[in-house]
Amino acid sequence: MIHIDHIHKKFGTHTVLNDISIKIEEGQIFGLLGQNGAGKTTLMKIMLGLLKADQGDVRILGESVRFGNTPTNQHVGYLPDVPSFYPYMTAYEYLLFCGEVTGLDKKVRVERAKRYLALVGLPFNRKRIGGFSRGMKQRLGIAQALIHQPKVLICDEPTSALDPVGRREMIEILQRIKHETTVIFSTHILSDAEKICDRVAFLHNGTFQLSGKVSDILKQHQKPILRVVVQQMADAEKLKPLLTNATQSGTTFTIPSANLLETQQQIFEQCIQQQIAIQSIEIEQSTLEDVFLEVIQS
Amino acid sequence: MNQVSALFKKEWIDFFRNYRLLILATVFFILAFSSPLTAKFMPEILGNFLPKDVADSFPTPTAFDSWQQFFKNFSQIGLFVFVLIFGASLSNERQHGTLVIPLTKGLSRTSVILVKSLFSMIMWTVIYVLSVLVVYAYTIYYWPKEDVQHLFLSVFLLWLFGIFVASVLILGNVLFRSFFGTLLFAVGILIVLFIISLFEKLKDLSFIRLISENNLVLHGEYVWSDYTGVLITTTICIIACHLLAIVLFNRKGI
Amino acid sequence: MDQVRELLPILIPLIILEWTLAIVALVHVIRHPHYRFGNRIMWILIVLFIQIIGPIVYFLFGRGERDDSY
Repeated sequence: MIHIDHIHKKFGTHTVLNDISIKIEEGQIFGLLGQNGAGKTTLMKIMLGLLKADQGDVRILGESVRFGNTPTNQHVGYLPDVPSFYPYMTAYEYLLFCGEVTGLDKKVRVERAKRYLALVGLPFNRKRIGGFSRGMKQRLGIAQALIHQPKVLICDEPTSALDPVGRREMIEILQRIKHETTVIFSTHILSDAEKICDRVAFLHNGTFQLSGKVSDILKQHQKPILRVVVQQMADAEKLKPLLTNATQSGTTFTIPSANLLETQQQIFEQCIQQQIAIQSIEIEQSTLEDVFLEVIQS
Repeated sequence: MNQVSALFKKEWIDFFRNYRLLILATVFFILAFSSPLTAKFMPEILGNFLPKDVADSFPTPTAFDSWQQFFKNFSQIGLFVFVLIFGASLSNERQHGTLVIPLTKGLSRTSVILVKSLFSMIMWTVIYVLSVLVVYAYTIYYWPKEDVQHLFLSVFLLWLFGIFVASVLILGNVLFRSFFGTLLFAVGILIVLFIISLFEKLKDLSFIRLISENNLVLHGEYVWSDYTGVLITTTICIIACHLLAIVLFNRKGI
Repeated sequence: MDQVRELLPILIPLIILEWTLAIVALVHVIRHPHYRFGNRIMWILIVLFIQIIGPIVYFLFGRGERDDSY
C-alpha cells in the first residue's frame, strides 16, 4: 500500500533521515515512534509532497509522490501537528469548504460533513472554530482529513497537545476509523501507541531501530523488570554507576532482569552499602516505552 | 471550478465576518457623502470664523469642486483603507498556516492567488461605483445646472489605479510574510512611480497620471486618446504582477 | 436655518453611517472581552468618541483573536 524506499534527508549538515525503508500495509494502524526531533514530521511531510527528499522514493498505491502538488494526495488525508483552520468559520462550514476543494458534489459534501462531525463527536451548531478548545480542533482535524474518504490517514502527533481525557477520546476516534482507512500516526507518547497500533517503527538517529508488530516486539523484547524509585536525586546519582544495564529517568530506574531474585539482592546490598533510601521497588513487565528506552540507550 | 467557488465563498465569509466589508463600505460612503458636503459648505462654514473680506474672496463652489473633493478623498484615504483591508489577505494565511490543509487536499496555488486578487478587485469596483453614484446624485442635486466634462474617463482612471494597487498588493503578499512588508512594498512602488513621472520622456507613461489628472480631465484638458500609452503600460503591469505572484507562490514552501 | 435645511439630506446619511460603525463596534467590544491590547473601558471610549477612526482601529487592530459566536 505504501512503500517508503531508501529515503535520505538532510537539513544543512544535519542528517535527519538516513536510508529509511518500510512497507505499510492496508487496514492497519501504524505508529511512527520517536523522540521529539527524531524526524517523524519530516518523513510525513515527504510522504505528502510538502518536503523534497534528497534521495529515495515514496509510493502510495503504486504511484510515486512528487514534491509540490502531488496527485497521490487524493488518497491521503492529513492532520498536521498543529492544524490551523479559518477561525471565522464554523466546523460544518469548514468541512464543506474542504469537501468542495477536493471536488465533491454539493449533496455528497453536505452529507459527509454531517456524518464526520458526528463521527468525531462535534456538535452541529453555529459556534466558530476560533472559540474551539485544542481537543475540539484536533477532532475537526480528523474530520477534515476524512472528508474525501482517503485510503490513508496521516496524523502528526494527534494526541500530544491534549489533556488525558482528550487523548483517550482521540485514541477512541482513531480506533473507530480503523475500518475505513489505514492510519499512520506519529507520537512520542508510547503508551498511546501501545494501546492502538498494530505495527510500529522506532525512528532514532535517522533510521528505524526497531519495527514490526507490537505483539511481536513485546514478545521478543519483553522481560520482567524491576522498577526502583529512590528518594533523592543525590541517591540516584550514587546508584547510577552501579546499575550498568538500567535505564534512568529522574529518580526512577528500570532494570531488566533474567533472574529477579538475584538482581533484587544485588540492589539491596548496594543500597545498604551506599546508604541509599529506596522509595519503592516493583516487579513489572516491560512496556513498549521500556523497550524503546533500552534500544536508544544501547 | 469547484475550487474557485469554494475560495470565493471563503473570502466572502472572511470579508463579511471580520468586519472588513463594514469598514470598507462605511468609509467609502462617508468619503462619498462628505465630498459634495465639503465642497458646498466649507466656504460658508469657514466664513463664520474668518474676517468677512477673506470669506468673500472664496469663489462660489461648483460641481467641479465636489468632484475635486471626491478625487482627493479616494486617491488618498480611500486607497489607504483599501490597502489596510487587503494588505495582508494572503500573508496572514501564510503566517497562520491556514493554507496547509487545503493545499494538501490538492488546492491549486494559482487559484488561491487569482481568487484573492479578483475578490479584492470586485469589492473595490462595487463599492467604488456605488460611491461614484452617491457623489453624482448629490452633485446634481446641489448644482443642477452645472456639468463637468469627461466624467466617465476621470472616474475610470482612478478605478484603474485601484486595480493596479490590488495587483501590487497580491505580489507584495507573496513576497512578504507581514502586512508591514507589503505596505512598504506598495509605498516603494508608489515612490518609484513618482520618480518616473519626473522624467520628461517617461512622464506620459507614468501611472501617477491616473490619480493626478482627474480634475484636469473634468476641465476637458485631456481626452481618452491622451491615455492610450498609460492604459497599455498599466495593463501590462497588472498582468505582470499576477504572473510573478503565481510563479513565486508556486515555488514557495508552506 | 436655511443652511441647515439644505444640509440635512447629506448630513443624515453621514451621521447614520458614522453611528452604524460606532454602534457595531461598541456591541462587539461589550460582547467580546478579549482584546489584543487595552481594556474594555478604553475601547468603549475610543469607539464612541473617536468617530470613524476609532471603530476601524478597533476592528483591525484591537479585536481579540478569539471569536466564538455570531
